Amino acid sequence: MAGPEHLVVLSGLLFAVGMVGALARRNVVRVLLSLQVMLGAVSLALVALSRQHGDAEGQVVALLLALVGAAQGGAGVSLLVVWARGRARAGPADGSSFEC
Amino acid sequence: MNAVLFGALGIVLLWGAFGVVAGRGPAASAVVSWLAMMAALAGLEVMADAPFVAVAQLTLALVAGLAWFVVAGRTASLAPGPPAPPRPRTLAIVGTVVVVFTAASWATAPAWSHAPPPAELPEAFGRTADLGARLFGPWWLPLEVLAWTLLAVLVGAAALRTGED
Repeated sequence: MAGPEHLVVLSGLLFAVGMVGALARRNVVRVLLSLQVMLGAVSLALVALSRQHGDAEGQVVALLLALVGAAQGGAGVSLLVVWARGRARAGPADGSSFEC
Repeated sequence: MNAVLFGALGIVLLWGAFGVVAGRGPAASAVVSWLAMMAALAGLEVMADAPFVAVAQLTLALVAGLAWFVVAGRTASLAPGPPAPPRPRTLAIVGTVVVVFTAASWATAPAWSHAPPPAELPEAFGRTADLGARLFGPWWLPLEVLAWTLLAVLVGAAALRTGED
């Protein structure tokens, strides 16, 4: 029987996988999506602990966290589009430490 | 049945996350993996009696996924930069940490999860009306701050676009 504690463990593993992607990858899209994976892991932990304690406050925080993820995604997408345009003008050897 | 569903959703969740992190394909494949991961995440949240959170998160993920596909398409047309040097030592260390953390937490989960699940959840637990009352009650200020932050992001994105044109 899967309980909230198993969800918490799963969220910890998911957070670790996202952290690996955020630290080890150079592709900007993958780094930003890895941050989203980490946000999802925190959201899952909040929901699981909310279920375990029978208090819906964790779900409220998870909702707010989803909005934070949307803001981060929106800012990341707009900055990436501008950056990609600038890089297309400058060419591949622009000294950036990231890749597309 | 519950355990089987949990296992299936957990496998899809981790498969999607590994696809984002370790995939070698174009960036669009990472977006697909991320969407699969978010779908599994929503399923797990439904299992944890949070259907409203699951639906809201999945809707936001689908909208964001469209934007990520646009970015992936734009960046894919660029010439690739110099190949990244392999970092096997970093990956080995981080992978070892992940494996040890998972094994330790799974083995000790019954010990540290002292609070048992409540026998009877309130009738309104996780329902839209309950969450709405909390959001527009004690959580009104964080919600308002976040709403203004989202507005600032939208205005900033529009300003960046205008500046480029």
